[in-house]
This record gives sequence, structure tokens and C-alpha cells, in this order.
Amino acid sequence: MEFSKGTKVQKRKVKTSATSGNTGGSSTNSLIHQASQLKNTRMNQMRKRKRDLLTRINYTHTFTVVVLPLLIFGYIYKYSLPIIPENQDTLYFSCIYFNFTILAFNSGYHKYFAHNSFKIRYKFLLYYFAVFGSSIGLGSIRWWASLHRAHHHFTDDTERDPYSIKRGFAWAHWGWLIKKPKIVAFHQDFMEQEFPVSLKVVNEVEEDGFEYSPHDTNENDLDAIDFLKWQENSYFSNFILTTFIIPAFVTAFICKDTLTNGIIYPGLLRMFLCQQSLLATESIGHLKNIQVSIPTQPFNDKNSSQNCNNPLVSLLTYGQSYQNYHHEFPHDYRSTSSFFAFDPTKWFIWTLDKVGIVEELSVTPDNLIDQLKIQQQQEVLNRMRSQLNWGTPISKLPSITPKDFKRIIGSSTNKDRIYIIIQNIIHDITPFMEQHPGGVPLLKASHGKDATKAFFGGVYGHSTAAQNLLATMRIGVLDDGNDEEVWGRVVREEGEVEEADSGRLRKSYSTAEAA
Amino acid sequence: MSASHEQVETVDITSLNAVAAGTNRKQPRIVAAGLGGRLMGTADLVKVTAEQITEDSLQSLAEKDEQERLKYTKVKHISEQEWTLSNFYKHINWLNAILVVAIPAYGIYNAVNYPPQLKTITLAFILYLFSGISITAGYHRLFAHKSYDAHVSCRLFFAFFGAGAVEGSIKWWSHSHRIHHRYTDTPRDPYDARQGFWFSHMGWMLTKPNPKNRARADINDLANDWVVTFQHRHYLLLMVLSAFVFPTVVAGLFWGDYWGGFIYGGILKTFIIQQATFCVNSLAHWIGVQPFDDRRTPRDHVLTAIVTFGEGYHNFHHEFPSDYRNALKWYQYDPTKVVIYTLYRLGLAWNLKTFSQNAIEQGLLQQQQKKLDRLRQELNWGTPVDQLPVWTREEFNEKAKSEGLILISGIVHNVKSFIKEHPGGQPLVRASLGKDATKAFNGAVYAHSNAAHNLLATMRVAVLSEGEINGNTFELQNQMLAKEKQA
Repeated sequence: MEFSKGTKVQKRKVKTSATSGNTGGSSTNSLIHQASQLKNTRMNQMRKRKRDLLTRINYTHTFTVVVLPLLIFGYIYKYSLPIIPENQDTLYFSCIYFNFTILAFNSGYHKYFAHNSFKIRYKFLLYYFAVFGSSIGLGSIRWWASLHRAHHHFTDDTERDPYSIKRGFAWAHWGWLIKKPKIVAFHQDFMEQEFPVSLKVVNEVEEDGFEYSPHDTNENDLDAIDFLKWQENSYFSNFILTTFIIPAFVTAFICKDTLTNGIIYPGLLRMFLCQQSLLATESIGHLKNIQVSIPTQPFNDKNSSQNCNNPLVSLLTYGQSYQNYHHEFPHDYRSTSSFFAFDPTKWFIWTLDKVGIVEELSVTPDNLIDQLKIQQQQEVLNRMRSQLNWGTPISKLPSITPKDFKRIIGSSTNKDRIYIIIQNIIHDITPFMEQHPGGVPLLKASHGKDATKAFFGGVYGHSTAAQNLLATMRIGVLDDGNDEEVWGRVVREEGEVEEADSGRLRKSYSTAEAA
Repeated sequence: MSASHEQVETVDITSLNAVAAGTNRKQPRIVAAGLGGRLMGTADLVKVTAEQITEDSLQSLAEKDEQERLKYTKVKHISEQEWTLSNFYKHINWLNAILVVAIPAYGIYNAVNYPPQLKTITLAFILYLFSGISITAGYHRLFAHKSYDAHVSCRLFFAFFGAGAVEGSIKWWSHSHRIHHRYTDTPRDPYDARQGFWFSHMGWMLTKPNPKNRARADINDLANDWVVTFQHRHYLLLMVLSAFVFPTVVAGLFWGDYWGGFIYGGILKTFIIQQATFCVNSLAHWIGVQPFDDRRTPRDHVLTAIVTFGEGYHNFHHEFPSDYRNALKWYQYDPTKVVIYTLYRLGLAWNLKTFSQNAIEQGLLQQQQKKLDRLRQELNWGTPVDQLPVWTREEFNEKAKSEGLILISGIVHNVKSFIKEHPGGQPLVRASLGKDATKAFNGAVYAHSNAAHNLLATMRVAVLSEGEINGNTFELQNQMLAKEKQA
């Protein structure tokens, strides 16, 4: 309020000074006033930012992804323990437990809850996903999956995409977990929309008059809601159970190792590795850095998602490095269409399907994948095409009568130049003369003449490259009263060019005039 | 207009062909002194006039074949007769057979019984490099394609060591090579790759060719070069000196290995060079990719490049023949290019010719476009709009709920089997059943991806009789989004 008043006063002052031109004393006063105002607002802003910093830290995730790993690395460093457990059995258990938990997360949190890639037939799998998925420490299903959907929906949007790469590598990797987003309310609403917890929303949807198929009845929905609610509430106890208690006891009683080693290796170090592998998907998978990710975008280059061809990245992200494919076909249960790609999640879900625990795997038809690839390549080609010189369009060439043309040839200044007419278009071959693979004598012999037949097979059937080169040397259209053919060509060529520019993809393209 | 009466002169194709074949001047003698000078071909192939060439290029190939068939029904040339025990010796070009088969066979037979010295092998390898570079940088890129100009010392080097490869004189070699470029993949092409690998590799020179496929190319520029004419005149002497005497004498005088020098430095080196050069005609038209043009046989392959001192990027070479490079990318193997560039830096070569990058990229682009179009034809893009049945509004309303139909852009889509798979959730699709969802689909609710539009097209059932119909829904979406942006 005060601030707005101040500006008003100042405006009036400016006006009066402009009219009277002599109000020195009051203007210095106003300047001081203005400066103090500015200072106050700046101070307020800084204070607010400090307050915000404290309130905007996401303490639960900071604890699981920053504090715990730091503590464990500090501990390892202090007692100079090895990174790989000395006990063979602990090592084996850590490896198995790593796969066990990351598969729960990848196939459960990611493929099942966020992308609906398959249907579950037996409930126990849900509990496996819910309990062991929380051992990664990346939040509850409801929170993570809805944010992940937001990421797919608003990819690269700096505000609405929770881990937008546009806000930097560090933000996409870790920052989004540590700091709450500015638009918390938006994400809350999005979460409510994607995974409603209150019955009210479901009822509203029902009133809209949709016929639900018998497959997912209201009851099933209610079950699902209850399940998600339960998982959200028991997330932390699940986390403690699967990250500390289970690893510690298994290590102690089955592997005959100490409890501490159980917490360090299969517990926290494994958790850290899982976290890095999942976070790397969103950071490295969106990073256009040839040294790291060896990126390609075969399906869509309008967003930042990259297919990383670096096998190391593929290994690090547990087979989820094909982000460009995944962003185009998110609910495909595979992470890429290639049969041989390293993709343990795919193998796991496929096995579950064969065993009969899950059903209705969603697979993108090959036709669709090929179509998209073709369209993307077409787009790249169109972009390239627009950057090249295809010669002056025929419609923009000056019209020259045969009389004028003969005068041009005859003039002494053009003594050393070579003009050749091909298909009623005058070409200035002079700059290319020396490079002509067939030799200069041929060009000199056709100087000032119509060489259409000779060009298209009479002497030599020129290649497409030669025709392209010829087009860049156009200087005019010969106006000999027979321009029907020329205008037909204009329509054919330039009509096509325009269509290609406007992105009409399915229009078949034909090469420039064929012989 | 009075101007329309005044016509521009049209070139006389016969006289132009005479220029291209070099028959408009005093005949430069192609088959001249020296047996080896006409190695790789026979004199029969060059006795042709401009009129014949013109007639030939203006006819379609089918017409020509028919004519030739009639002409040769009575008297057949030896090349058109069947191979039998009684006439096989007439088929074979014995001179070439001795030079490229018998002598190397003799060399290999002797090499087996005569283990080489390291020094001799080194000498043979160095001579191999010299002769190989003389053929690629000299014979091929300098003389046949004039892709640069070189100092007389370079030309002498190429002429001497090129003769050591026993592939004929510069004049002869460049002449057939120019014909090969002008008539690639036609019967007139001396090493026509369409007749199989072995024909283009060695068969064409071991058998007698058919004189009806005669062709000529203009080599007046070569006839004016005294190095070329000198080499041609004294070819046999130079060939024996360079290929056999030189290595024998060097190896004999310096380390006493006369026989080894002759076998390894002479015969075997020559054999390897010959085979490498033949590979350009065969292998380079046989294996590899065609990034510039697939209407003709030349192909790019790294294996051919390794064998032939970098002549393996043949698709590019046939598209841009007078470019001094064969490989464009830094990682492609083209030592000949490096040699030429080094000569240029040393001031021994100048006027290096390159085609504009624009033209090269245009070629690449058009070929990629061709491939894409071919791929596109193999895919299912949904029924075209004009082939769909036409429904009325009532018909649509009747079936909509029970069959799961949605109207988008005037086209009826059956989405029943897709409802469960919809990434945005089932409720959204269910809410639009039986309604016009054009706006919702194209951005009002969610601007669908290109993939979604493709998938939608495969679900087409019918078109509605009223309302606007746009088969390209993706373009429609772009238009709608653009309009929204403006507003």
C-alpha cells in the first residue's frame, strides 16, 4: 500500500517539475524518499528470500538424498572402510537387493503407477511395489508418480515441469528434491487431479455420465485410492523398514556379517546408487552433451529428451537412457523398441507377464514408431533444405527476349562469358566453366544456344547434382512467346517448395525436373 | 511480338558429340607405339564417329538393343558367340591375359620357393606406394579428371611410376576412364558393373569386347601435354624399366638380391597394384552405401578405400568427378587427397578443384528424401479421407455410444480398443464419446504429439457429410495453436 502511494506522489512531482521547471527542494526530498523506499523493499525482499529458503526446503527428501548419503560417506571415510563390502555374502546380497528394489521402483512407481503400462492380476505385487519402492527414498507413489506425469505433460516448462533441464543440470538432478517448487499449489492440484484421494472428485466424475467398463469399477478405484493413501501415510515407516531393518537383519543372520555393515552396504550405499541411477535419467537423459550422453533425437527434437547412445549412461540409468523414445511413447512398457537394448525393467515385466502375474502389456506398434521416425527425419530434411541455395525461383527471374539475349552475347564486355539456355532458362556458366567435368570446349560450343537436348542425354545425361548446380546459375527466362512449359515448371517446383516449408509431410516429394 | 519470331539457335548435338569425343580435330592417336600402351582394352573400341554416338544417345536403349539384335542376327561378332572348346581362344585377349594373369602367376610361383629379404620387401612396399599414388593422384585425378594442375616434376614422377603399375599409358588409361564416367552403367561403359563382379574386375579386359559398344572421349588436353605424349610414345620401354628393371637393379646393386627384387619389387608389386585398381571398377560398384545417388551403381565403402588409396568413396566421385577429394569427412580414409593437398602447400600443385558444399549437401538431401519416401510408402498411414464412407449426423449419433466413436476434424474414429491405452487416462476419452472433440484433441485440453495424430489416423471409420474435413490433423492442430497464440 505504502509503496503504491509513493509512486503516485512521485508521478505527480515529475509532472509539476515538467510544467514549472523550478521545484529543486522538493525533488531532492522525493529522491531521498525514493531511495529509502527502494532500500526498504530490497531489505524486505532479502528477508523474504531468507524466510522462503527455510520454508521451501523439502526436508524429507533432503534427509534421504543428501543427509543420509553424506553421513554414510563421512562414516566410510572416517573409518576408512572399503566401498565394496569385504564379506562375499554381503556383496552378493547387496547386488541382489539393489536389483530387487530398483525393479520395484522402475516397474512399479514408474511403469505401473505413472504410465499405466500394464495391469496387475494379483494384489501382492502392489505391496511389493509399494514397500520396496519406498526404499529408494524418492517419496511416495502418489507424490512421485504425479510429478512424473507433470514432467511428461509439461516437459521443459520451467515452472510446471518439476525437473526441467532448462533450470540447469543440478536442478534436474538433485535440486528439485531439495527445494520445493515455487508453484506448490499447482502441483498439489495436479496431484489431486491425477491421483484423487477425496471421494468427492470421483463422484463428480461419475455424475458426468461416463459409462465405466466393468473392468475398473468404482470399487476398484476406491481400493486404489485407499492403497495410495495407505502408501503415502506409511511411506516413512516402509522406508525405515526396507532401508535399515531388512538389510541389517539379512546381513547379520544370513550373511553372517555385522549389523552396521548391513546398514552401510545393502542399506544406504545401495539406496544412494539407486537414487543416482533414477535421477540421472532426468538429468543426463535430457542433456545434449556429446561427450557424456552421445545424444540423438530420432523421434522428436522439439523437447530436450535425448536417446543416449552411450552404453555407460545406459548402464548407469538401469536401461532407461532412451528418453526420446520414452517421451514419445510413455506408456510403452519397454524403454526402447530395440530388442537387444539393455533394459532389465522390460525383462522383469515381460517375465511377470509370461508367469501370469501381470497382463495387458502396452506395446507401441512398430508402424507408429517408424512413422514418427520418418516424420522427424523429414522435418530435419526440410530444415536443411531451407538452408541451401536452390537457385533463384524461376518466377523471380527477369524475362529476356531473344533479341536482347543476342545483344548481351554480342557485347564486347561479355566476350569471355558463357551463356547457355536449357529449358528456356538462361544460365551463366562462367564461374563453373573450369570445373566442368566434360571440359570447357563443350561449353564453348554451346555458348548462346539452346542445349536442352544435349544436357539431358543427347551428349550426356547429367546427374541430379549437375542439375542442382545448373539451377544456382540461372540468370533469366528466355521470353520467346512459348512460356507455357516454363510456367508449368514454376507451378510444379515452387508449389512444392512452399508445401515442404509449411511442413506438409505426407506430400510426396519429387526431384527437380526429370529428364 | 516481333521478338517471338527471332529464335535462339539450338546446339547441333552431332557437332557437340564430336567435341565430346574429340573427333572434330585431327585424330589424336590413342593406340600408338608400344604393346603395353593399349593394355586394358583393344583398339576396336575406339573406332567410332560422332554421328554414331549422337544417334546412339538420342535413341532409347530398348530401340537400340532391338536394332543391334537385327543387325547381328546373321553375322555374329566373336563376343556374341557361345563359348565352345573350338572358339574359346578367340574370345580371349591374349596380350592382356599374359600381362595380368600369366606373369603374376609366374611371380607367385617363384615367390613361394624364394623367401624374401626384409630390405627387398621394404623396397617393394615403397614402390607399391609410389605406383599406387601415381595411379590415383596422377593417372586418375590429375590426368583423367583434371581436378588440379601439377608441376612438371610431379607429372614426370606420375608418368614414370605410373608406368610401373602396368596399366597402360596415361593417354590410354584416361581415355577409357573418361568413357567410363560418361557412359556409366550402359553397354558403352568399358567396365560395365551391371555385367557382374568378375566382368567389371578383370573379365572385360581378358575377353574380346563387342565393337558395337564403341565409344570415344575427348583427350585433346592430354595430347597437348608433352609428358603424356612422351610416356605414350615410349610406353613399353618405360614400363619395363619402371616395373621390372628398376627394382631388380636397386635390390641387386645395393644388397645383391637381383632375383628377389625382380619377383617381389617387380612382379608381385605390379600384381597388387593392378588388383587394387581393378577393385575400383568392381568393388566400388559392388559393396557399400549410396549417399548421393542410387540411380547408378557406384558405392561408398571404407574397405574399397583402404585397398585403393582412398578411391573408395565412389558414389561421391561419380556425382562430383572433377573434385580433387574423394572423401569429404576427416575420418574417411583418403591418402591421395592428403598427398594432393601437400603438393599444393609445397607449391607443386595448384588450381585444386572442389564442388560447392551447397551442391554436395543438395545431393545428400535429395537422396535421403528418396529413401524416406520409399520407407513412407511401406507404412500404414490410415485410410485416406476420400476413401472413407460418408455418414450422416444421425447415423453417427446412433452408433456413437455403443461402438465408441469420436468425431475429430469431421472424421469419425473408432477408439473403443484404444480407451484403455490412452495415456491421458480413460475419463477424458469417455467424456468425448459421441461428441466432436476436434478442439479438445488439438490443444484445448492437450496438444497431442505427432505420434498421437498418426495413431488417430489408423482408427478412421467414416467421414461426416456436414462439417469441415481435414485429413492432416497435425497441420490443423498447428493452425489452431498459431491462431490461439495470436489471440
